Amino acid sequence: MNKIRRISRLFAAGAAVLLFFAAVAVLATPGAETEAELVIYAYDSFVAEWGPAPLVIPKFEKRYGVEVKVISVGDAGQVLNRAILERDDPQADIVLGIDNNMLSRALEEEVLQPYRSPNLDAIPEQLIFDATHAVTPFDYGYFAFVYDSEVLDNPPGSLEELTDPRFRKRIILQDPRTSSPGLGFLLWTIAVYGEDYLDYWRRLQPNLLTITDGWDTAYGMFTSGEAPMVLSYTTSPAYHVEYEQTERYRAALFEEGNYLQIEGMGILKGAPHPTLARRFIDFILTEEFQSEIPLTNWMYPVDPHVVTPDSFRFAPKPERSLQLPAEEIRKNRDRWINAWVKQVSR
Amino acid sequence: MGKTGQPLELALPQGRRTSSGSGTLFLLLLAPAVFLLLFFYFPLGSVLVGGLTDSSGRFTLGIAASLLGDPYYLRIIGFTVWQAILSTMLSVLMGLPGAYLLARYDFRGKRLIQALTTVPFVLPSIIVVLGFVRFFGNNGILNRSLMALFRLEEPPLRILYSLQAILLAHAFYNFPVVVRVVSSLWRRIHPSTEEAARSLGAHGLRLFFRISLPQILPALLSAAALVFIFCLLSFAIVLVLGGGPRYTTLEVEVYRLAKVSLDLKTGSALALIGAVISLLFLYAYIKLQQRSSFAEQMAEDAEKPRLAGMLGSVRGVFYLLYLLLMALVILAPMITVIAYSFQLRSGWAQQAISLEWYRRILSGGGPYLRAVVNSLFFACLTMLLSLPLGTLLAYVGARSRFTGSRLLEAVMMLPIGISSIILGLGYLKAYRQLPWRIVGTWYSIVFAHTVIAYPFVIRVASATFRKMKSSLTEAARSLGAGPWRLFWRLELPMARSALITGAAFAFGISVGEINASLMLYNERLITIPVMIYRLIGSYNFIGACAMGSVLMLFCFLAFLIIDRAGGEIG
Amino acid sequence: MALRIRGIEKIYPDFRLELDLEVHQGELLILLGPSGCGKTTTLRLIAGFIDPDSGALDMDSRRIDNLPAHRRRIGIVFQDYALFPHLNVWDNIGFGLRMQGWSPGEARRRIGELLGLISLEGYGKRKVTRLSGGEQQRVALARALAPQPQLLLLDEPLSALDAKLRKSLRSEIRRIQRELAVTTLYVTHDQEEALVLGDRIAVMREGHIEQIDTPERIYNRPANLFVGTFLGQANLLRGRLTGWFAGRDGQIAVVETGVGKLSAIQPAETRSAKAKLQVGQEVVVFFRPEHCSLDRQPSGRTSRSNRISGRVARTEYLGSHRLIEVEAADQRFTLDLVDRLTPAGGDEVSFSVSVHNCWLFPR
Repeated sequence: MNKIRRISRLFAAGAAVLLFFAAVAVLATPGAETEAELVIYAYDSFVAEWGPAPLVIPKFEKRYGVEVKVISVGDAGQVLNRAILERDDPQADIVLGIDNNMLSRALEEEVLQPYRSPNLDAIPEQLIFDATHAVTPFDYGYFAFVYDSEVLDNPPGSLEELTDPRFRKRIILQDPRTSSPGLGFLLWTIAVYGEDYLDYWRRLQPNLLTITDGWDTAYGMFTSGEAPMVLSYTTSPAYHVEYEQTERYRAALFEEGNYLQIEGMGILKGAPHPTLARRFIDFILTEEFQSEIPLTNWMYPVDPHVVTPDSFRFAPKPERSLQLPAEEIRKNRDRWINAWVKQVSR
Repeated sequence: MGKTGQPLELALPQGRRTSSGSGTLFLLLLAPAVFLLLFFYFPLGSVLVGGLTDSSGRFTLGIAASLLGDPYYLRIIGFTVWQAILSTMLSVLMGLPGAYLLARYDFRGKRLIQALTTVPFVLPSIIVVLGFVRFFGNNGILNRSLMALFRLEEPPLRILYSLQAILLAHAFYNFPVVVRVVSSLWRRIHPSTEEAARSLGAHGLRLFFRISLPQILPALLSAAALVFIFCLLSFAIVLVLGGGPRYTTLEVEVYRLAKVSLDLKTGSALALIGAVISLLFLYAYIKLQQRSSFAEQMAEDAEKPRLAGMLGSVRGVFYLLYLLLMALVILAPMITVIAYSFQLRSGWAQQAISLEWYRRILSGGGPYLRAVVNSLFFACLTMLLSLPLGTLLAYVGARSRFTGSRLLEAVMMLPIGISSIILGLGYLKAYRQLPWRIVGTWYSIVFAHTVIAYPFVIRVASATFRKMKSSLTEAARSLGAGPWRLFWRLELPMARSALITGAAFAFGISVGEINASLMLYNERLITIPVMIYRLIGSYNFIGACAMGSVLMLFCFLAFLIIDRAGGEIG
Repeated sequence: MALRIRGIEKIYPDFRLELDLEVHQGELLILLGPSGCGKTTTLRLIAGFIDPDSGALDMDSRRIDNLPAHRRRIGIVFQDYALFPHLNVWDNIGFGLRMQGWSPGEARRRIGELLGLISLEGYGKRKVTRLSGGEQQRVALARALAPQPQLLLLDEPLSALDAKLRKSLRSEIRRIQRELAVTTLYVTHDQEEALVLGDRIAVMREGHIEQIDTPERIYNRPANLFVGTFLGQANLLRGRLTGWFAGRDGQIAVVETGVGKLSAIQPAETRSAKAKLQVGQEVVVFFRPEHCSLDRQPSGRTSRSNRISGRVARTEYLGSHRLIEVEAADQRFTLDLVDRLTPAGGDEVSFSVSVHNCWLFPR
């Protein structure tokens, strides 16, 4: 190798090293980080640019003149997981995203401290899903089958009707082992059919196109036209109305009722800033917070006085809402799921 | 090959008096060992220990044993292994002709095609699923075109939601692994052996099985081992494209236990079982590879005939058919995803073409651009770290003789046999106690990615190291090259093409990694896959496809650059 | 540098190598022997790629067997050349210089020198994979010689080349070796090469050296049947020693053979090495084809030559000489003649061999 090439190579290497360190420096400097006075763990879509956090957090910060840090930790399950992992030395004050199906687990692990906010008085009784007030509800939704009205002109009106042969291979579901709506639907069938739920599933099975790992895949397949029906939320159509100006996607309300999902947040035991945390719990039940929920989180606000946007006309609420008691879920969930897997694997 | 009566020496001989040799070797191992200890074994152990201790903290195999005794899990384990075997066979079958074409022929756009066919490997599974569904699905492009063409009422090709779909998707994912790994060795084998065989009357399949196959066997086994492990840990694809829980793999249950049921004890035990299975298979592969490696005269820059000239013959027709089929399986889903990203609204009816999402991505300051920059940064670092790590370990593995060295090699490969969910959890758990922050830092992500990627480099490099002719190393030694110089100036340069492949894949693995990243990221450190996941979680499929297209583009460019830097093709 | 191999032993399951020899400063010693005799193992032992079970290696009275291979400063030319495919000619030759820390200027000069030595000036930039066999061989030689090794080892370097190239290259090698006066050990199984190149030849069999001597002495005074038949052609005749009598230059033996009584001598090397052969012992009479001459005298023996008669079985014309196979008493003899006489197949002939060219060996 002659000299010139050697030198130029050395230069290139040196430049690369310099660039590298520059990039490291840029990325590694934490930026002016003042001590946050409240730390919240939330699921990812809450923290996202189009989620609730960018709208509601500044409001709280302004009102109390504090700095709040919201950290995304993945999905709702992960939120609880982090809380459990950090139980001896909590790094956050509030965990956000614990729903009625997860409640038993959260209480079992004893990672939350109860607090009954005075603002709870304005909230309907049936939405307060934790009597110990370790978890305070902030929004709720119903699972529902969302269908493409341009393909399906005769949608089902009940769970039972879902098994009709005309829906053969036209339904996309999610797996209860890996997806929260999936679990929700399983519990839904149990709430309606009790221990005969396996028989229902036997009858439903021929109508299933596929069972996916998560809601995202299922919904993606639905909008791609693979099947005209997918398990989702009653609020899903509202998104398409609001942002895509189309009313073709509709939610089906069932005679037997739709299954209810309530989301809440709680204060961690041993939280570094308990007083401020309580203020935040109070805050989430105010109109300032609740009014942002519909269009950012695509759920219903627990505060019944909040006016939902126009597009929510297409997010109907069912007459009957179904729920299974937390204790019952805790005791039987694994058994139910295992039996389900066995049944559906035939 | 030795003459009768003389022992066959495959590599550096054992030397009582080569103390400097083994000393240097030991030192070489020290740095990688420390790194792995800190960033793999420690976090892994802190999670897996949960699966090995009962509630009072005593060591027990009870949890794992009860899992193995449960027919539910046994069935799942059985299916997991079975589909991995089938997928591997299909991937190898699909990839071998491609490897051959790449190794033995010259054609226009070779570099482009090589880079292009590597892209599927890095795609997050959600993108793969979307692409497959939109192309092969009942309402996909393929069926709709056929229905329009032949005036059919029902979709004629029901490919998806079956075992075939799983195998096909796996082959799609892993095709580049087979092609790259095998071709990088194949092109080094002098065509003279094949020519000699041809002059003696062998041709076609016979030629392949008797002459070519034994020569490329180490690389083939490497590729098969990697593909197998990836398929073993496959998760979303199996569930969605298979059609339901009938096709459940281990990873689904690990995911369920770790993320939904939050039962880390059972989840760890299951992951442990999965790791042991992976280990066993890896060990078997390594042993096989060792037996099948013999030193070859390596060729460099042998003259290659042009593919275009071949196309007239019968063989050429075969090649053409193969290329078309591969274009269908490999390119079509990717193009579908890219096409989708140019839509304005979801659903087929809305055909308005729009660059809306690209506008959003490229507007500075947005989180999208940050995600892109982060992903590239992490990928480059991962590549820079995992290359030396993997190469060193591969070298030591290929040159060491002591008993149990094969087992050690298999253990080195462990990270790809471990669910990345578990690894991510391990990072969270293990580093909690430390005084300095690890979670939420850029280096934790890089280290996690490196740990996941380096076994790939090992596998690719070791095939080449094993095949190096001993007379070359002896010549270098006689000229004064000590063990370090030997490695640095002879064996490393000669393994260049394998290392390029390793680098490309390390880059790709990092860019596409989702599970560990999800555990470790924060707003500033968001990566493309996490962003895709986030977009999908809020109905933004088009945006997700746009990010996916950006991911594809960058990987494509990166592969082009890496290949060019290595100067291997053409 | 002189190489001394002292009591080197290497034991394998089916084979045992025992060596004790000295290579003189500047000489080219040939290691000759059939496959499997241990020649290549010997080279590898000297180079340091394998360790002996016992014994020592000295170079100029300094022990080298405790040095690792890369510090012994021994140049090796391999049978398959082992050129580094990723380096061009220049870098291949310069590899050792680089390893041993030569300054770039010195290295450049040295490489240029060597390119001239092997007559490949201007080939520096070529890729080694594009060279012909002969060119590769020369580059391999240059590479080995570049760092001025104290010892040069060549392992059948010409075996992959065609006859003509082999001949020209071997004189090249000889010339270069003489010019640089580097102590050289050369392994081959080709006797012609051995005879042409070697200052001395060590004939090896099954792990030990049968005889080590100059080519002339090896050829004309083989220590035993093996050496005698390995180098050059030989006619062998079994018989029984019936007596000794004193001749002009020493003892002459009388042997009863299938073609009658023959006289033979026991060459000095065998005589001094082993005991004098006894009367009644089974022996072999050995004489070379080129020592025979056709004559027209009737068979019999004189005090100076043996005569054997027979019938021509076959002739082979080789241009400068002729091989004739004579059958006598169920034995075949090969004669190597430059005569103008051209006996045809079937002819009755007789040939004679000088007694001093008939050597006696134990059976």
